[in-house]
Amino acid sequence: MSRHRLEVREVPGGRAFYIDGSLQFDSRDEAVYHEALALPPLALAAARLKRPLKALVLGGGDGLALKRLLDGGVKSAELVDYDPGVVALARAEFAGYNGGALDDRRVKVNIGDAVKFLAEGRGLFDLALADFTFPEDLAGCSLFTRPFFSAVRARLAAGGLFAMNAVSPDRFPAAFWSIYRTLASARLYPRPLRLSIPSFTSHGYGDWGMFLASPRPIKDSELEALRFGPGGWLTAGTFKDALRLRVSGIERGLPLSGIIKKPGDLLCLINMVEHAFPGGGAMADFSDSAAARSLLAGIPGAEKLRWPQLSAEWEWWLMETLRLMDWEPFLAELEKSAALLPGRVLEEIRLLRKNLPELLKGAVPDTDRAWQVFALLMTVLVFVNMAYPDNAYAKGYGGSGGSGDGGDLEITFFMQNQRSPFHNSVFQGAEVFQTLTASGIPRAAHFVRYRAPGAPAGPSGVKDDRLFFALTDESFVSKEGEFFLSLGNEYLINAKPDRFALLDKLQPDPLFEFYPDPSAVQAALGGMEQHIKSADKALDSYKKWLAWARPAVVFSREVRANSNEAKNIAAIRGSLLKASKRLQEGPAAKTGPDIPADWVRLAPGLYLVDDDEIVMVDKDASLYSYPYQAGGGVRNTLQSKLAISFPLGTSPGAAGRHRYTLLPKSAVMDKFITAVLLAANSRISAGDPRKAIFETLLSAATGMGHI
Amino acid sequence: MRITGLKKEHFKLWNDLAGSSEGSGFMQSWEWSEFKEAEGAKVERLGIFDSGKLIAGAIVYRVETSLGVSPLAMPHGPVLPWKDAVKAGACYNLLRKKLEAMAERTGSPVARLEPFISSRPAFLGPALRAPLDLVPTPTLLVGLGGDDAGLLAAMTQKGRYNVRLAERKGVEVASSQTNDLTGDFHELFELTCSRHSFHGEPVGFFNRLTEALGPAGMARTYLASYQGMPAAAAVAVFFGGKATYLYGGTSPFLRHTMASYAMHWRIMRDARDKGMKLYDMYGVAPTDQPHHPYAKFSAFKARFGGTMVRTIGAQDIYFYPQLAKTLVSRLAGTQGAAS
Repeated sequence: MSRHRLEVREVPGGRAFYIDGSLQFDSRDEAVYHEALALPPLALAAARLKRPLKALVLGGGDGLALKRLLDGGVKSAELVDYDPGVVALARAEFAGYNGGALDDRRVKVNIGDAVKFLAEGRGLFDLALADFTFPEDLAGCSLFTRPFFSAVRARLAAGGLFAMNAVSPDRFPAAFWSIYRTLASARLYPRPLRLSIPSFTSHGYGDWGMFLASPRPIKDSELEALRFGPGGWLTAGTFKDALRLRVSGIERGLPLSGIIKKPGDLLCLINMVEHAFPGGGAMADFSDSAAARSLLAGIPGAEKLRWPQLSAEWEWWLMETLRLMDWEPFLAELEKSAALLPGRVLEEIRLLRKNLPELLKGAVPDTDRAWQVFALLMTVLVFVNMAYPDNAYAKGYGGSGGSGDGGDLEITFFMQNQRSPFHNSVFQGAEVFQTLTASGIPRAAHFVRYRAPGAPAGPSGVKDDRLFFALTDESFVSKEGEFFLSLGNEYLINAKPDRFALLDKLQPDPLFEFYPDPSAVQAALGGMEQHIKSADKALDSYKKWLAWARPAVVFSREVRANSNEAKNIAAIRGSLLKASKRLQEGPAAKTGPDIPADWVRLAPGLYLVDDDEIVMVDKDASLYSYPYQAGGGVRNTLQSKLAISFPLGTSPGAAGRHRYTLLPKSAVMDKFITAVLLAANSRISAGDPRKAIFETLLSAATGMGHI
Repeated sequence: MRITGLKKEHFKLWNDLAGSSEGSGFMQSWEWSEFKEAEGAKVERLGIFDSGKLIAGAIVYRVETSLGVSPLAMPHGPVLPWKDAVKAGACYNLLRKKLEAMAERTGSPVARLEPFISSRPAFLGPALRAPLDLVPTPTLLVGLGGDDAGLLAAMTQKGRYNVRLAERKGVEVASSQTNDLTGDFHELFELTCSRHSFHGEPVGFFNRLTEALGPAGMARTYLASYQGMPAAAAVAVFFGGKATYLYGGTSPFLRHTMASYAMHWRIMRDARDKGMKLYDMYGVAPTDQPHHPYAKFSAFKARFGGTMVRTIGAQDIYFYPQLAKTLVSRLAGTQGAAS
């Protein structure tokens, strides 16, 4: 029996395969993944070795990578997958996609452990593919370690090729670049690949990463000469594009990366997941090895050390820990350990000792070398906490604050007369006029009026709609199948793939059109998919029950409620489907700006920069400064509804302080930003260092009359 | 007193000690340690003997890394005679020395203690409050003493009402200590995780958990259904005098059935019948933190009555020689990369 939950879901125009809820392939775009994995090593091995090829596929029991190898004419192939359930599905359900690859006479299928197979076998292979599931536990991580890659290398013929599925270079940059370093340390010279796979992106996985590697370095000229068969997704052009990776991911991942010697090393890095961020930014071309080498050498580790996930809360926690540490024995130990190393390390530790009082006050500029050592220590402490993952020991959640200084047992008695927030009949009325929040609290469904992009001016272009279903407490699908994000009580974002239109609930026209936040879209698509599935199940069961009970509708309130519920769930399902389709099929956003890691995100497209500047990213990815604290009076509110229609940079006041084109000041935007700041401020605890910043901004705004 | 590694023959002795210690919990049970060991964690079981009698100890977990950052973790531990401060202090000193030796051997820069106690004894010395907890605090403990009427009386009026409403609606609760219900449980669990943006473990984890703990009666999966439709599900763990609501999920479409109430009511009665004294709801939001991730669940949990208990939370003991070595090796590494 399979140890994992295997699911084949019907999707419009194809099928999608999930293991433990994680997408393995979607037949509509699986070619992108499997061609990128299989065809480059196949073509390169053919060009190098000029003989009929022997191939090995580790994992990949769905047979889709294997199909590419067979289509490419390999002489023989062995497949090793530990899950008989996947292999059985490949033979039955996926035969139409893999062309019956597993039953091809050239193929030998082994059910078993890849590590054991590599260790116990003897023959050599001309090319090997590793197509494993995402490494989320120690067993999965063991397939990305140096011992594993060394074992693969030992089974490769001279000049043979190895290609592997890795992790997203954007969402797991430290893990991705650790795999890169680990392959290199196992003397498998790697080239990284980045792929945009629509089904992966819609699941929030970000761009995907792979590696092409070989015990013999892969020359630029070899890559350039690669040609792939006609009719497929992979061409010389798409391959060249796949060799381009975002510099921002390298900058974030490489300084934190290391060689994966033990599965725990990778698990620790996998826990450092980063939120998806807008695409775009500078790209590094890994088809040009000299340029890539120079880029990698130019990432100087500690001197550029920054940790984008080191949120203000973490920084606060770590500073508290560091303040309470017993520094004298620690510094003595540091000097003792460093004494065996070249002088510079010792010198930096002495600088740390000298500057420690200021560092602990957080008052030293981050260019200081002592600060770099201090920051590295903070990073080590983050690693310590990431190496203590929930799934390694038990379940758990993030700390809830407080200094934990003990004291007496704190007991709160729950009063018996407290009212339940749960009992509701949201879905059981003739119509759904309430939304059920994630916490189960019913709230009146907001009616909204908005003008969709491209709709005609005047009343005829205005749509009346209702927030029909709450995906989360802050995101909704409307009856008409639009997706909305709620920003406090007064503002909504009508989310489209190419823009996030800010709406005042009282105004149909957008106040501003922000650049879309892909992570919000992806999270919504994931949520919609889950709820559609759940609705399907509920409807399926209701169908049987109501087929029997429906005649009782006229006299049974219970059955009437069930009948209404089935009807309403079907309507919600329809809206979810429509919204999901719109988010996936709408026009794509332009390439986004590269948002620096230290900008504080207040709302989608709205950032606080250097603690005092409000920066907005519009739908065309242009950056604008907004003079939130600047004086100069408040402009005409009607004009300011569409702030970008003003002549830019004309606002009076402190234009010189701003780094981007200055938007004109408007009462409407002031009010919106104040609401966002107030909401952000209310979400953070009293000890959070951002509190002071938000309150300064808000008090300045009060002085200007914004509140 | 002496501290030594425990062997398989100490299994019952250890479980009796950990199970009877108020400051401990299921993560210090022998079965849980074997489960985590099978999952890939390194486990050391330490016992402290006084005149040949096992009086204290700890099960220490570690995920091996080559980064020199893996803590020696003791969730629900160590198991000490907390009520006798002098003896507990002496045991702690022995344990601490042993942990120092383990840290030197493994390169771990920190040991993380997480006993289920409410006030921090002075002998813990300079241990620092950790930024992450594995054992959620505060939590809600529901007393299980009494018959059905007594348990219902201790609930809030609305809790009682909803338990009865679920019964009237015909919600049925099934339970299993094998994997019969794991698939249904996981579908609801996954849906709930997605709805609340939590990370959820894969179904394989629950299969393995049930296989490891089910036969000993330590874990059970519950499924509440309405008209045959899965409406709520949970995995509960039973150890010592405490049942713990470890994982759960609900269907958003069947909330009106109050299936969750029927399910917890069943877990409470099963736990009581197994001789448990408390039902740990495994984390509630502190009353002063309305935006805490658990705030949304806390109102529901509170319907079952009980008392909110705040433990001292995870405490870190730093081993400076190991921390220094890790930092210096990273410093040397980054300089190497720069050159």
